[in-house]
Amino acid sequence: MTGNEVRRRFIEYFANKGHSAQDSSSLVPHDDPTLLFTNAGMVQFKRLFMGEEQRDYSRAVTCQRCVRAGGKHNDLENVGYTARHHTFFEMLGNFSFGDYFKKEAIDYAWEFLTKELNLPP
Amino acid sequence: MGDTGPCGPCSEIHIDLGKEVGCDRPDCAVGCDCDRFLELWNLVFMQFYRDENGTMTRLPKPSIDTGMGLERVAAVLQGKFNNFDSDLFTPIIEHICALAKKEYGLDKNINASMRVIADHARATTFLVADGVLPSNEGRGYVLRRIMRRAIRFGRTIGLKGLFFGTVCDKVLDNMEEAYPHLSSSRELLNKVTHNEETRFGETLDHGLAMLGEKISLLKREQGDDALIDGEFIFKLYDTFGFPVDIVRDIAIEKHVSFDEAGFEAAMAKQREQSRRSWKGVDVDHLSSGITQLLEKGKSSAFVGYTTKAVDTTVDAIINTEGLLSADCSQGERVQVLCSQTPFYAESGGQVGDIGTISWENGQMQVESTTEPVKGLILHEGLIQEGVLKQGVSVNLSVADAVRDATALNHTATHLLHAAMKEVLGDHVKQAGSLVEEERLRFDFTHFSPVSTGEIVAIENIVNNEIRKNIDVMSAVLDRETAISDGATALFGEKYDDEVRVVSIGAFSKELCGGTHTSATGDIGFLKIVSETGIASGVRRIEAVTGKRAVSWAQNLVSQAGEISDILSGPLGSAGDKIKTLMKRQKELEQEVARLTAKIALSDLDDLLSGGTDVNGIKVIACEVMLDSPKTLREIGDKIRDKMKSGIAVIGGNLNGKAALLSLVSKDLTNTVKAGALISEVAKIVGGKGGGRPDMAQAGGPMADKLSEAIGKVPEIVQGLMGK
Repeated sequence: MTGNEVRRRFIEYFANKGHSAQDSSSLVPHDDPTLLFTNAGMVQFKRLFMGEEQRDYSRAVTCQRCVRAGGKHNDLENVGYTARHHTFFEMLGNFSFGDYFKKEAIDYAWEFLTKELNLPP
Repeated sequence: MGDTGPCGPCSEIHIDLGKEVGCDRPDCAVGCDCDRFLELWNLVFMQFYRDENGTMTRLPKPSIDTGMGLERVAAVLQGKFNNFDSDLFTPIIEHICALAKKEYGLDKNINASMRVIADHARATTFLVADGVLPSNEGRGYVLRRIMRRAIRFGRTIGLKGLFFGTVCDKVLDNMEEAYPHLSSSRELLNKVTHNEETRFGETLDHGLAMLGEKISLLKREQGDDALIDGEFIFKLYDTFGFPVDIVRDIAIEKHVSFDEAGFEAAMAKQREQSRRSWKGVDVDHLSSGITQLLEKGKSSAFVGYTTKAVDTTVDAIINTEGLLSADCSQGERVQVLCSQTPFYAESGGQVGDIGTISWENGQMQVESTTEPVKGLILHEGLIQEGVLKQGVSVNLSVADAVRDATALNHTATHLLHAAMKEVLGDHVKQAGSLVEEERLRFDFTHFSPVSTGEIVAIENIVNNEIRKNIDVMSAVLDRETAISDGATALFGEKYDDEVRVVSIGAFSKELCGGTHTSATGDIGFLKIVSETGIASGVRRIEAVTGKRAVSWAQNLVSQAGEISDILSGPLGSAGDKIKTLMKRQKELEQEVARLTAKIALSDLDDLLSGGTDVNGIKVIACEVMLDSPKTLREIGDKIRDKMKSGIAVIGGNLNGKAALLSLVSKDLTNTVKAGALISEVAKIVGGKGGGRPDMAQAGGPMADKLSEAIGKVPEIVQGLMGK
């Protein structure tokens, strides 16, 4: 399965489970002075998690562009020498803002990996 | 996530990639360092918020945050053990292989280089598309390091010249379907990579050569214990701008050690040296008077932040020849040093103060104030009256109105700088500044013209801050504290250990020695009056403030009034009216063109019936009225249709230049060629021309010679027939 297909299927799977498909936010985080670059999917939802902001959805799914270089996650020196380190990567994520919790989250993840992607359980 | 924010326990989903990729240790299990159990997906059950002090508070609603790296999942699904072998990277790596004419997967070092380039090209492409530009601080600095690291790894696989831009381009090709916002950044990306590769390329090649020699030498001398000394690394960095990151990478590759402590020590020494006072100044261009003052340890204290006039004594006078002088009299141009002064010396873009120095029975007009060497503030100007002697008591008085207007512009420059960062982005850096009485000028890094909408947004922000009438505060702090507090330091400026920080509420904080107004409300009003490009990636804005902004607006209104008077209608409808007028003008022009052509064409029959006989050949030569090159060709076409056998040359005045066309009927092209004919005729009007044997065109600058040229046609034809 191609990377593009994984990305598409992930969004589709969670959209079908009532998640609002949101665009990736910018690598330059807006009004977050604690961060040099957007480094995870949750960055654009931080205020939602903290109950400081309301949106018309309580479940979301994204494929977020991320950079980890400089700052807390400094991967620059390792990149190239290991199989997994990147400065830029895409993070697939599903989010619940006071909606579902542990059980559903685990069920969804398991189902997506084993049924959608057909990874051996 | 940062150190603060929502958090909670998490549950990780790992995948067992099988025994063969594992470490084979008996205790190998999930969480082992080896590659067997790969963390695929992290599910965070958010229940708490962690603040700056590490205190955890319960979140209002427990939530879910999950993250799974696409590159990992793709690699696992495609049966690859390395993320870089998934199809997300393959096209990029293949492109790099093609450029380098090398294969991927055979050599460990080549693999690493290709992976670095591919990874860094992805980061570069996305960062640039999100508005990050390479620079020397913050996000831009991280991007610059990423780009330079990639360019350097390119050299290890033989990629010289500009290659990185094409790799980024490839990334963009592969990603724009999933990220459509990338498409609009292609041009910017090309420009940014081109600039960075060009700038960095030379430095890199030179530095790599030096480093290569050094390492070979060290290995010969020290064998396996080879250590690149800190002094050398520092010299590469300081003199040639060679990145230390890259020295570290190369040290790893070549199995030599890197002298971190020595490098740090060399850096510290450099900082100490640059701090030492005037000895670093190029003394050659200083006058001997100034050098003598320096040797005597003279200096003056600036007291102008709090006062504009002060009584003091004359410490020294430098005369027109640049020599120290005990006294100078009326009509002489001098530089005067006093032990203290309220005069601001030109610096940081702000012009030097002007004003007067007065003493018993004498006065001098200060036309400029400079500080050729730190601490030595010189008042320069003409003695208008009396004799000025060293040691006398004087009153120094700054011209109020000029200083105040300048202060408004300086404070406004800070507001503008902060507002531009807000509107245009963090890549905006001050590249130059001029603050004077009449206006302010601000040069800054930015890659495209600032749009009208952006200008309005910037003006709105600045004028809002002006209306808030915020107090402008200044404080002297040590440099490190000031910068860590978030004060904007200008790149490339040298700052002392103690710096003055000028802050305007929470809106702006800059390191600045200039004189400012006490509250933003004094500025009254700021208006940007021009925006231009002055160099690649550098734009310039000019703005006016206070009284001058008001007169600028009044002036504009009176000009607008004039326009609406002329159009005899309200200004609001002027745009539509002018559009209508221009449209009408265009229609009329087209009408004129149509009629001109018609007249020219209706004259054709007369024209064809005339003509001269040259050796039995009919030669027509005439001037016609022209409105466009098209008309000339149209007339030519008609003549060709109607003229059975003959030669014709027509010419006309087209926007002050001569336009010519020659025609030769098919039966005569062996006798006279249209191209040769037109060349001869065109010479007379100072031009050249050419074309086919049966038709040719020419132009020439000397339209006044057109009649002469047309008149000579029969003669020229005769001449050509003789050949």
